[in-house]
Amino acid sequence: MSEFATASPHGAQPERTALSWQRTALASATGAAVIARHSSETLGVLALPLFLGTLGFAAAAFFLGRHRYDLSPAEPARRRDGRAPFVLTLAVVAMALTELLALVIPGG
Amino acid sequence: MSTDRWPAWVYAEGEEPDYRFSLANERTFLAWLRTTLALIAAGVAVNVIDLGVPEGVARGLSTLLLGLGVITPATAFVRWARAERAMRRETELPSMGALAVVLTAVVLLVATVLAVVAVVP
Repeated sequence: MSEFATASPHGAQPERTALSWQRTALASATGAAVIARHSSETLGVLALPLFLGTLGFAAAAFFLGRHRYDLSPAEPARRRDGRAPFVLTLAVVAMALTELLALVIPGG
Repeated sequence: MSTDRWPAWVYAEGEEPDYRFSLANERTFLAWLRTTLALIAAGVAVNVIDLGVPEGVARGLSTLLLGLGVITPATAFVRWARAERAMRRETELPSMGALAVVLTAVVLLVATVLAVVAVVP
């Protein structure tokens, strides 16, 4: 096994990856706001819970991604699992579905 | 091997890979999500901006782009998980499969339709 497999991440890699998490989550939150504004003309009040749900997923991914590398030296990789990728995936899928819904319903 | 890391089908076997590769896998996944955000933005733009195309065509193109906005992140997550598992098992990385072809075909189709509409009086 590589020495890097059991080591705590160090150097620029964790920082670069954490920044990538943060900018993707922030872009998702911004996109959710724009889509909520646009789709509210068609979806009405339904756009609000859809927006809040999407925003919640994006916020969860932001914080999970931010603290993904604050680990104890004994377990350097334990917190780095699939939860943060999954919630961010949900945020983006929810965003696309909201806009699709606004597009296909009559009058959209 | 039992694990509290999720999903278990990724983390229940194999050994922890070199963290540099694991982080690169995460960044690739995040790049796919940002690509998806661009596709969704394009889908909204085609629907909102008057590009001079018939409304039905604009809605069709927008639906195609937004459909990719649903499929691409789900596929990106599966690709990330399969790559992580492959690295743990020290086996070959999975390919992108048909997604890259579908993505390219749809984007080219949308661009072609818009280009034709722009040049044909």
